[in-house]
Formats: sequence, C-alpha cells, structure tokens
Amino acid sequence: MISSEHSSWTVLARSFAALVFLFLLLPLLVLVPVSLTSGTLLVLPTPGYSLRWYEDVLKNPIWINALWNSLVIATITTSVSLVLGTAAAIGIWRMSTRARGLAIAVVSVPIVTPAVIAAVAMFIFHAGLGLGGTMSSIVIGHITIAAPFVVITVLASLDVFDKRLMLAAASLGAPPGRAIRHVMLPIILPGILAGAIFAFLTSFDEIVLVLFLGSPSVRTLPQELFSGIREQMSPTVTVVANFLIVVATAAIIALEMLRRRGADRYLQANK
Amino acid sequence: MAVFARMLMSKGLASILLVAPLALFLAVFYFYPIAAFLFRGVSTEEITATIPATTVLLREWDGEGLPPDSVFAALVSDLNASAQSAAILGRRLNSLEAGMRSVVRKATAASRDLVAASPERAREGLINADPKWGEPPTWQLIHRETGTLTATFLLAAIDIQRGADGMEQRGEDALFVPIFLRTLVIAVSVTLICICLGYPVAWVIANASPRASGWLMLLLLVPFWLSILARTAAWVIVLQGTGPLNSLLMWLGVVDAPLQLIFNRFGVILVMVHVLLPFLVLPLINAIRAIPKSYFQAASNLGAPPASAFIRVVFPLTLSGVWAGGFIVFILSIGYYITPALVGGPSDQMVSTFIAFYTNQSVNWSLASALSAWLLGGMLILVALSQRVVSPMIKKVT
Repeated sequence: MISSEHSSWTVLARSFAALVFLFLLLPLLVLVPVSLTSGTLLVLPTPGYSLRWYEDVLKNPIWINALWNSLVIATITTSVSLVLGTAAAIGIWRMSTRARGLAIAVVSVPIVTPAVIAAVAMFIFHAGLGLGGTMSSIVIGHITIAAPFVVITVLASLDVFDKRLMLAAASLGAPPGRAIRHVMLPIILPGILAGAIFAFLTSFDEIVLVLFLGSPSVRTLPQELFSGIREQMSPTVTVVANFLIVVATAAIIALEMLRRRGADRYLQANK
Repeated sequence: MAVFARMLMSKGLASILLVAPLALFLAVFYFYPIAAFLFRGVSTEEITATIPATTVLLREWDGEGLPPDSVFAALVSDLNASAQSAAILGRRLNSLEAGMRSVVRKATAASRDLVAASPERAREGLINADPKWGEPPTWQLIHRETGTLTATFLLAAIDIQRGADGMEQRGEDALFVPIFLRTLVIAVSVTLICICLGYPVAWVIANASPRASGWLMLLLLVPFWLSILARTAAWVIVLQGTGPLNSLLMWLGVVDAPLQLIFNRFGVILVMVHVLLPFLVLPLINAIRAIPKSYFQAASNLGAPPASAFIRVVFPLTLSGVWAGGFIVFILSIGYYITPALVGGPSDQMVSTFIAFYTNQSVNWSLASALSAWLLGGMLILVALSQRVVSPMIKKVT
C-alpha cells in the first residue's frame, strides 16, 4: 500500500518488523547449536560439536517411552476428533445463521477457557469415574480441546463449498448420505486434513491437562520436557525441542500444501 | 417407517444428528465436569457428608445459644462412624477458622467413650474435651457451613472473611485480590506490548509482495506452531545469567554484571509476548488487507502527509483488527499457567497457579473452585462488555 514515495516510513516499519522477527526467531536459532554441544553446559559458543546428546535421547527409555505415549494419545485423539468434528461441522454448516453462530460460540468455549480450570475439573471428574491417571483420561481430555479445532477448520473449508453441488447430487438421485460422502467430503478433504494436523499438534504439544490427568506410569513428551526445564536443564532438553521444531515445520508445510490444494479445488469448482 | 425416513432426511433433524455426537461428548466430558467443579465452590456437601446425622438436626436449630443436647449426641455418633470423615471435618473447619482441627480431634477422641452415653452426657463430655464446644460461635460456624449452600469460599476467594461478628475485608494480609490484580496487570501489559510489536509486523506482511508475504508468514508460523515448552526452553537458555544475551550486553559494556532476566516478571512477560504475538498479528493482517489501497492514495491526493493519512484514515480502519487480535491475546493470557510456572518467580504467579495449588498441594477443592468461578466470571463479563460496548464503538469509528 505504501509505495516508494513514502520510503522513509516504509524503511522504518520494515526495520522494526525485522527486529520483531529476530525476537520471534532468535530462541529457535539458539536451540540448534546448543543441542550439538560436546560439553554439558547450555552455553554459547559451545566448547565443541558432537552428537552425544542426540545419542543420549535416543538411548534413553524415558524419552522414547514418552514419545511413544504422546504419539499414541495424539493418534487416537486425532481419529476421534476428526469423526466427531467433521460431522458436527457439516451439521453446523446446514443450520440457520443464528443457530450456527450459537453453535460456533459453544464449540469455541474449550479454546478460550483457561486450561487449568478444565484440567482441575476433569481431574476430579475422571477420578470419580475411576479413570484417574490412565491414558484414556488424557485422550478424553485432549478430544475436548482438539475436536473444536477440527470443527472450525472444516467449517472454514465449507464456507467456500458450493451448496449447489449438493442440490445437483440430490437431483441426480443421490440420498443425502451418499451426496456427502461422494461429493462434499472429497471437495472439503484439504480442510479435514488441515483439521487433523491441528488436532494432532494440539494433543501432541498439550501440557496443562496432562499435568493433571497423567500419572507416573503415563508420561508424555511435553511432560518430560516440563520436568526437564523445571528440574535440570540439560542439552537433552534442547535435542527434544529441536525435534519439535522439525514437527512444527513439517506441519506448516503440510498445511500450506493443503491450503493450495483447497484453493485449486475451489477454483475448479467455480470454473 | 417411510415417515421416519423422511424425517431423517429433513434438513433440521439431519443437522442435529450430525452435531449430536460431538455435542454429547462435550456436554459429558467438558461442560458437566466444569459445572460440577464450579458447584463445589458453593456446595456444603464435603462437610455434610462427614456428619450426616448432625447436619439433619442442625438444620432445624434456630442458631441461638447452644443447640439441643440431641445435636451433641448426633455429633458423637457421626465422629465415631468414621475416623476418616472426622479428619476431613477437622481439616475443612480448620480452613475456615484456625484451631478447629484440634477442637474436632479432641471431640473425636472423647466421643469414643460417649457412644452409649445419654445426650446430656454427650454434651458434657464434648465440652469437657474442649471448652469450644460450649461456645455458641463454634456451633454457629458448623450450622452455617452445613446449610444448603455456602458463600464462604466465594467470599474467601476475594479476601472477605466471615467471622462470628459478620464479614470482614482482609486488608494488610489480603491474599487473592492482589493476585487477581497481578493477573490483570500481566495480561494487559502482554496485550499492549503485543499490539506495539505486532502492528508494524502485520503492516509489513499485509503490504509485501505475495511471494515475500508468503515467506514472512512462514517465519511467523514456525514459532506459532512450535510447542510452548520448546520455546520456553530456548528462552531459558537465551536469558540465563551465562546466556548469550547477557554475554552480549557485557561484551558491549552495557552492564558489568549479568542481569537477572529470567525467573522474574520480565521473563514472564517476554515469553508470554513471544507465545501470543502471532495471535495478534494474524487477524490484523486480514484487517489491513481489507482496506482498499485507494483510500490511502485518496488521502494523499487531498494533500494529507503520509503520517496524517495513516493516523486519520488508515489506522481507524484497522482498529477492529487490533481489537480482535488484542482481545484474543488478553483472554488467552489471563489464564496462563505454564509460563509463570517455568520462568516466573513466586511473585509472578497468576490466578491459574493458585487454582492448581489448591487442587494439588493444599487439597481445598472448594477454594480452587471459587477462584475459578471468579476468573471465569470476570472473563465472561469482559466478553459481554466487548460485544455490547466496545464493538459497536469501533463500528462507529470506522
């Protein structure tokens, strides 16, 4: 918007933005060299480089076990959230504008409610059900916060879905269920997959619920990281943090690819 | 059957059937547990369950003087029924009035010999065990806390103590009001800093070429998607006494000794801003992109210098975006728990920390519930205010 004639303002805004980007990225840039240190202290510059801490993590059953637990919990959470969330999103999409607004507000409650309140409430409730400290308890907790993300992501992709396609399918004799399966779902698939990524990462990175619902026998990766930061910060913590950077980057690339595919389909559908 | 099938296909019912599984799941596993937890703050069940017979009789008492002897006898049998219940009763009453734990313990010990005693003997025995049982305030306390509902914990959560002589606002030794204020101060600071840092970033991304803005978005999204724990770990390394930031400052000669940058308020706000900044920038980018480029041009053509064209024409149009982003940041930061726990000192802990504390360490679920109720209530009022008051104001401006 600001063209070259206002260049002094542009330069000022850009330099400031560059500093803010440095602030956003600086801590991530620190993690890589520190994790490669050959020493035992978290200092820069490092005394030398080695992969000893990576080896340490891979050989440590505590980390591997935590990673496995996190993967299992996130996978189950994602599967259930996808089914519940996609169905709900299609239902909400078919509602009147007013009902839709209300439904979206209700679904957003778990996203904005302080996590500690939900965690404490579930901790007491699950203990009463005899689920305390089990993996099921964590999965149930995670679904309540992951499924809303699926609903919102799928609703966003339904916003650009052409309703007339459903009418066309119906006029050709397809019952609603079949029209949803063969016409709607393939078109909104990028949105559903984006919802899956959201749900997976929400569960995989979740820490507050896990602190209350987990137990010494079911510990997740974020929980081990939390203890690591709190008790004794060692380079192993930075190795795991780097792994999470790779996970986050992969998620973003996947989301961007899905966004482009979604945009392509939208263009095709509206040709 | 055919009618039923047609009903199924009707639009409304099909929508409801699609939404029902998630709605049911959230109702059972999210909304019900939270509602039940919040109810604990006003419920007296924890106490009435320990002394059921006494509760029934006390509800008929008028609260004047000492209760009838039959109440003493009921208490003796309640205390004998379960040692665990007696211990819970002592703990609960002690949290309301210091010293009650030993009063209950003495009564429990004495009641073992009073099981078969007459009501009159029961009264004498309990008063012998601890003279407190002969004082009306002791019984008034139990009477009040075994009613249908109690406001004691909601009041305690805002430092109002209920004593024998009415309510009293704790002044010097106030515990929770300062914590609520601190939570508010931290949330407002984080929001304002996010707006100051995020606005130029959103501006640059919104006005960059599509290619450049794609890359900048990527740089913004990597930290956004990265686990808060990984980011916190990174900040601990950067900010620690021997960390790169302190080394740089000392090398530059800005400071002589390492600065304390973490485990204090500065560290908490810095890490929270880092985590929440993208929540402000993302809605703001959309708000800025929505402004027709011709507006700025029109203002310039009419002779407005760039600064005044920006302040008077463009900035008001982005206010709704600033508000939307700022509001999300504020609401999310008010419930923060992890960041203060990891990079804050004792005086930087927010309300959430105390909710966790009263649940885990000092098992007082009623107080944890009352604190949650105030936190959620405050958030709800703010959401309502923003919908009713601020949003229309912004619409008027723009």
